[in-house]
Amino acid sequence: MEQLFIIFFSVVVINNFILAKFLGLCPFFGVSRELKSATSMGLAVIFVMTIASIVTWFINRYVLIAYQVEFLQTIVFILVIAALVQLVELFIAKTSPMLQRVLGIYLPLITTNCAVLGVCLLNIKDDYNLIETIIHGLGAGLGFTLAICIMAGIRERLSVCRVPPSMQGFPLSFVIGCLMALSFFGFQGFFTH
Amino acid sequence: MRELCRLAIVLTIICCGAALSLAYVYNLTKGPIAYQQRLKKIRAVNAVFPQHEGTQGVQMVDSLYCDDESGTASCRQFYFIKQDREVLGTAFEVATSGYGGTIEIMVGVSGEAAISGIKIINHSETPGLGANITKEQFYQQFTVKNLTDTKWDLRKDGGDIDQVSGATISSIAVMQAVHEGLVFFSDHEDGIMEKAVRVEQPVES
Amino acid sequence: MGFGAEFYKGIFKENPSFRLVLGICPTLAVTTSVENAIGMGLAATFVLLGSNIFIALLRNFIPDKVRIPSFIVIISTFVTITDLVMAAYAPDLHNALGIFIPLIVVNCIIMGRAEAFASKSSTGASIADAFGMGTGFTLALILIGSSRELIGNGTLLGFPILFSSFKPAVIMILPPGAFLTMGLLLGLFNYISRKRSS
Repeated sequence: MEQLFIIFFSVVVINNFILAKFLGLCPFFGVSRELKSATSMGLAVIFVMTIASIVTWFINRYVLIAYQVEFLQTIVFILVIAALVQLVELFIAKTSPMLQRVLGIYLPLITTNCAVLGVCLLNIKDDYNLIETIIHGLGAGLGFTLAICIMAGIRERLSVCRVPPSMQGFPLSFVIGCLMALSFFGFQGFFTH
Repeated sequence: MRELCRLAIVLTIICCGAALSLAYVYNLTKGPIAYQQRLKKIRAVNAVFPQHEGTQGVQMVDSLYCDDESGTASCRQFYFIKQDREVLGTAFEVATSGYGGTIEIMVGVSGEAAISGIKIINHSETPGLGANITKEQFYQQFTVKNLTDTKWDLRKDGGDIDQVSGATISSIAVMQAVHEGLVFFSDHEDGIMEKAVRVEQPVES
Repeated sequence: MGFGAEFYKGIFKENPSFRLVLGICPTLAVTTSVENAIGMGLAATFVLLGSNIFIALLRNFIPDKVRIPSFIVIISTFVTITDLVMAAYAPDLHNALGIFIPLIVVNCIIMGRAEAFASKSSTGASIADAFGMGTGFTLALILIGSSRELIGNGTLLGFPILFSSFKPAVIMILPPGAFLTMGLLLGLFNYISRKRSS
């Protein structure tokens, strides 16, 4: 139980995917102009990350390792994630128009989100069991959502500020990212063995 | 329908091509990758016995030691430095979880169960902070430490180990892993030494 | 456009990192030292070259509908080849770059070039484009890597450069430093191109 809590807390704030591991930066800068779209993106990522973690865990264990073709890991995982995203999209479109409106356009973007492939690869690299994998996937998604929502909140406020023309847009966002990473750095050393 | 078949066939051809070429490259690189991993271990063993480097007649042998008595059958790889039939030193690997992931450490022990050196083989600690465990001023201090005379705690907790500044967790992780390895070695020293005398086949390097 | 023009556009005008702001994850993650930056740049260039060539060659063979999955398969094949070859012949670099080697698969630069350029252009132009983009990416990584290594560690390629009384600002090789360096360099690039166009 303690181990699970450490994995969860660590991946949400200490080793936050965006601010400490640099995974999923494209949507972090691309879809953080408004809080509303950032939240939708975050929800979509939590959803896909958790499912992708579970599915790739089973595939790794019962296909790749069982048939000793671990070198196909990258190619299989990315195809599985792409197919999974498509399936989720179809499923949502059929079952929940409300969810479709919220997540709709963000789902396809997730296929090329390195955070999703990253979380699957890290689950395997750190040798997590199924429950740890689920907690890790869920936590990574939550951490992503936390960071992207804070970012969007700050950028909404900044839209009414005067910014030097050369620093507008991406450059300023990166500097905000720096300050956020710095403040999240304060969580370092939260756990001692 | 014909269109659908065409799509399926094209995609299948591409996937087969990819799988075949990957299988080919995998077979080509399998040997070199295994060799590199072994070389890394051997280099680490050499690094923890600086005093024996290049000495005539010294050879390295390795063997698995399995702790069958406890019933769990946990096996560990041991590397021995031998001259003629005499065992000069024993090296073994310990692993622990540090701040960013697993840390793997090679520990060398020579006579009187004192450490002759340690070497960090793998780690994924934060660059600039925890990664400083690979700096000489940190790992050098473990040389000549042993179980009886050393207090295995950080200096600030009244022990004998200096930590890397700004990286308490990484320092403690290394310290505890080395200590745990040393305890295992001294608990099973007789069995391990018995193995050491028996193995003859030198490690290729 | 000629070979030269296709090549040069990737270096400044359409520099993938600073002008198009693509593939930021590896750009920030592996630039703690110049050595890692060069390794990552070369690995990405190789994948880009391989996938661009194959996609340009197969562009009339691949039906439009299965375009994206085919590209993904071709790109990840080259990524896995790079991964295996690096593990076999450059194990230290392979270790330092870690999961960012398999993650080249989802690097937007490579998918972006496949979709926007190689699937519509001749093989020759695609090769020039891959070289240009790869070089632009590598140069960008080297620029970020050298700023961070110099200020954060006082060295370049591992050699001490700054005078000995210089106390390195470790924050630069920590995650916040990556964001800061990238933000300031992007601002600088914007400033230069604004000056040029006015």
